[in-house]
Amino acid sequence: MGPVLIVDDEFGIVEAVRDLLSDEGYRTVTALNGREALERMAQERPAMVLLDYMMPVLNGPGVLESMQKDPVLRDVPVVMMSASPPEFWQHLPCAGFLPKPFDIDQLLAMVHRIIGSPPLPH
Amino acid sequence: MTAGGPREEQRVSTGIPGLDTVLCGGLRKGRMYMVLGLPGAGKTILANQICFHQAAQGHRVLYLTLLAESHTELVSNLQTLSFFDPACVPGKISYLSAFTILEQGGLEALADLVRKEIKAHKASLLVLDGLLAAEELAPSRQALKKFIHGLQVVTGLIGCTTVVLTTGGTKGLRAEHTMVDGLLVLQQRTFGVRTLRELSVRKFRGSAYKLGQHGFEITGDGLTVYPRLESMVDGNLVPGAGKRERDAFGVQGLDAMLKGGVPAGSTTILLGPPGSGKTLLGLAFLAEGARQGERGHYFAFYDAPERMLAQAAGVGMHMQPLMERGDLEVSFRPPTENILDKMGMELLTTIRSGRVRRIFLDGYEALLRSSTRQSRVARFLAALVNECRVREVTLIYTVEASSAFGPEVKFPLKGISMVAENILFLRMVELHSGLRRFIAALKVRNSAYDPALRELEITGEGLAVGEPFAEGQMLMTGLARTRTPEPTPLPKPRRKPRANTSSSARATPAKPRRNVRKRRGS
Repeated sequence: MGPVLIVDDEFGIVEAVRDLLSDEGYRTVTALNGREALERMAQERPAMVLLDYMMPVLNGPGVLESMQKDPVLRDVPVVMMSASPPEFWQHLPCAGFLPKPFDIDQLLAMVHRIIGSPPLPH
Repeated sequence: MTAGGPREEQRVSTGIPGLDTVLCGGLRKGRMYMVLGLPGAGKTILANQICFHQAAQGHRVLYLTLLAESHTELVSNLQTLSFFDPACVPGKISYLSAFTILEQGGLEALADLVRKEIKAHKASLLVLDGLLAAEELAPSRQALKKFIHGLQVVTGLIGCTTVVLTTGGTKGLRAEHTMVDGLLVLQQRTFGVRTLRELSVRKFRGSAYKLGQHGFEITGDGLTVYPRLESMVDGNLVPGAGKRERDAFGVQGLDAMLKGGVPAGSTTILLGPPGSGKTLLGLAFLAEGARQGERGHYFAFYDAPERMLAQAAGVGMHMQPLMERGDLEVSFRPPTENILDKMGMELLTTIRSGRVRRIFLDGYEALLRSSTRQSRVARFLAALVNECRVREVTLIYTVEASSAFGPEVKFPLKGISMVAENILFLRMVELHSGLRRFIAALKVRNSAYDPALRELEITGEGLAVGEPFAEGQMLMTGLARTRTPEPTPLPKPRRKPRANTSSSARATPAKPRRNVRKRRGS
């Protein structure tokens, strides 16, 4: 199973989500903007992407558009995270939406539903 | 497609009397709060009180100390407090020391430990006691900020409310203070020889809260916060149309003077020197209310209930049966070291209870002594007056006049219109070599009244207000004169006016005039 890619311009959220998912046994990679996210995905295809909507350099919809054009990344499930009202972003082709602020149980439930349980440690 | 719903706003009750009121409902779930205070301010007790309250609600709590002190010491100190429940430790409340981990692994190791322990204990409340240790061990302020921010995000995601205790920066604002969701400051302020505890909320994100300094005390039950009365009263509320129009005193002659009594829901000052009959008049007002089926409350500062009963019985007012029937409530607090906000809460509770229609507060000086800031008392009373008006509770309070005799009568409080709608003035006056009492209505708002000065008689049969003083005048000065006309003095012979002086110049000036230049040739 590929890693969970966490993309958010708030380093605090990136680090917290990374640590909490790591505690559960998921492998993670992080990016602080859309362009960095595409670079990470070019290095390794993720199992899913937790993607923030509003970011500098390249925002969430921009990343999503690039992924749609890439046959390797087209099918990677994306969960969009945003504090904006849902009408702004719920039309986007995503596997799930997480309105901010969310709690870890909501996030884990979503990750479980989309990619299943983490692989057992060797 | 899966959509998570927006997280519901939940409140975490502190269980500290008065604090949830100040915070307009308690702490916000999953948020981080910082409690600032110097040693001895009450931070640890406050935090533990919240812990035990949450544990009693069935929640799990993690208490992490960054201090070198042992938990044994902390827990043994808490055992003297009534909220301490040994059954909660360690089942629901876990006390852990993170001091060594912080010392050895730094902030990153501490952050890691906090995250893992919160999850392991399934804690919904975290207390981090002694942030100062983390501050001292942090390589830079930036690193400390990053640690706090990281902790804030993690606890927010987990939904664990966090209370951080620190001694640092009670005066200046530090960067980490701006990061947390709320900042509570505990202070001990010294006024002369008196020390008072005060709590203030400097910020509280995402919620209204009561501004200002709120008095609090620490007793065997822990902290009790007394929200500032002025912050508790809504000045925009308009009184409804009440059923009662007038509240009588039941004193013959006085009710006629006041056209049936004082307006219901109004506030009246009984202004007069000691011994002029203020307390007895207030008690008569309560007794009359009880006769009319209106329960009254006597807030006493000087006379214990037994003494009040004896004093009233001495003038034919038997209050004991009224107390036994429940028509009269009495609360007595000696005028020693009272907390103004505590009295404010008691008064507000009584006013808002709906069970009391008349209140007699005896007297204003006790409020003044309780207040560490004397300029505040007028605002305090104004809030009280407003609340009484809205709830249609008639309030009477005594104010001691500055002098018993003499021509000068000073109002001992400023902005009197703000703190009373009616003023009844009582005074002793010397007439025909005897002392007599009189009463006059100086002001009754929006109401007709008889402005005559009438004699107030206090006998074993009770109080009575008689006819206007016919034989005296200048009673208000306390130095009455009889009305017998005095012989008219003979006019003094007028001197011929000097040249170059106006005709209106006094012939014999009472005092030598200043700044008068010597005339030439004199």
